[in-house]
Amino acid sequence: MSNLKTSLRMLCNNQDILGGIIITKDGMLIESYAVENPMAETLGALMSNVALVIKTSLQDLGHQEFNRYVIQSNKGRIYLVDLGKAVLIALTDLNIELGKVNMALFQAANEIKKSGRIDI
Amino acid sequence: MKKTPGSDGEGFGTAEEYLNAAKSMRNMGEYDLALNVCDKGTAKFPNNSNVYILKAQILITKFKKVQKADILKMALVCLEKAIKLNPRSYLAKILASQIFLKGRAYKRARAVLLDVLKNLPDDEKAKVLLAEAEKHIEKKPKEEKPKGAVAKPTASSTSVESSKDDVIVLAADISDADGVKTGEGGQWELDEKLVIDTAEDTADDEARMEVFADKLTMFSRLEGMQGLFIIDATGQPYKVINKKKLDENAIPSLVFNLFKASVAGASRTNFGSFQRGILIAPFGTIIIVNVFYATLALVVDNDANLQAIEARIQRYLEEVAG
Repeated sequence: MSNLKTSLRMLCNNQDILGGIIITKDGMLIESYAVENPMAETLGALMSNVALVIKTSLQDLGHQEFNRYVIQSNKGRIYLVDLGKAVLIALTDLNIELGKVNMALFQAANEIKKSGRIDI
Repeated sequence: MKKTPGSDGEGFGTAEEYLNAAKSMRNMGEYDLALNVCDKGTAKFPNNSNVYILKAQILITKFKKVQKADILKMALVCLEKAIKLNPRSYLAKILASQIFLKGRAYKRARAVLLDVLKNLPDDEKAKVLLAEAEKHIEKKPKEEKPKGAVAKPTASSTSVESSKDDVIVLAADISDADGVKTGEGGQWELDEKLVIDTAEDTADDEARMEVFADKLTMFSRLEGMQGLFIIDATGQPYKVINKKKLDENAIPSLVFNLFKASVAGASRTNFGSFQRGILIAPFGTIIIVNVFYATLALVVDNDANLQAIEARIQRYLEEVAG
């Protein structure tokens, strides 16, 4: 099992997190856990659009990276975490322990960045 | 004696006041007065892209009444200025693309629309307009060049195929909207069938937006507040409370484009309807709220109390819905 898969599995050990994927900036799926295809591919493509809007807009404002973006709908939340060359996406229900989810995402993002695999 | 703001736009303190006064006049059919207010707005806020966009919208509406191509050229000049000031402006690009289509400058329309789709790949309006442009581009080489549509050659005119596009280039190259030269304006061959959608708000929309704006005061005392934006359905700011000199071109475009991308993202992944977007950026946290026919954006410090803000948002939504 790859380092990235392990990091995603550990992230999804948090009971509030339904699944996670890692995509490149242009929407290519790098790794997924608990999100099956074609859902993972679709989610990756759509969320890469979101990440692109954020990145290009922030560049206009003189910033290169964002920390996190959360889409909250009437059914749940989609978290996007900027990993520099890639984006970590996690899906959760609506009623969750925000603190624990934030901590799990922070740890997973650090693990993924440390693994260096997303540089390939 | 202190001068009070008048209906002609004299003495307004913010760009939104100019925008809202001009919109009211436009909705009453007073296009020249509305344009006059826009001119005063651009003189006072030369770096605000939204006043240029509104001026272009009003010019397009006026064009629909009087059918003079020069008016469309002036609108295009305003849109070019707006895009220069705010390269992410969705509305400016959509309007410009429609003017290009109307002027049969299909390649230019395509270029602008591809630029929109680069940022918002799922935008239906841009896709439809792009399909229209491409339909004509494919058809064009087979058609004979019509008589009397010859433009002055420019550095960029290289072929017969691009001659009509170059007419638009001439218009587009004029940098000063006030000193627009109509020149051989009559040579614009307009597509009579194509109707430009100016995405104007109606009097009903205006009334609704007024309610949304009036209730913003409930956020004003929140700790860590940097700014508040009420953005209409076309991406134009209706009310701005800017406490930290936030970029009034870039932030509304970011909010509008992110809102659109998020709505598409949530619905197409079966995550239901978008309610909030929370962006934690280096300069602060942007909270995007879906407010029925508009978007509310709050920019707060990164250490602000998000729970207190959420409670306030809930109260705001209850009040504007009631």
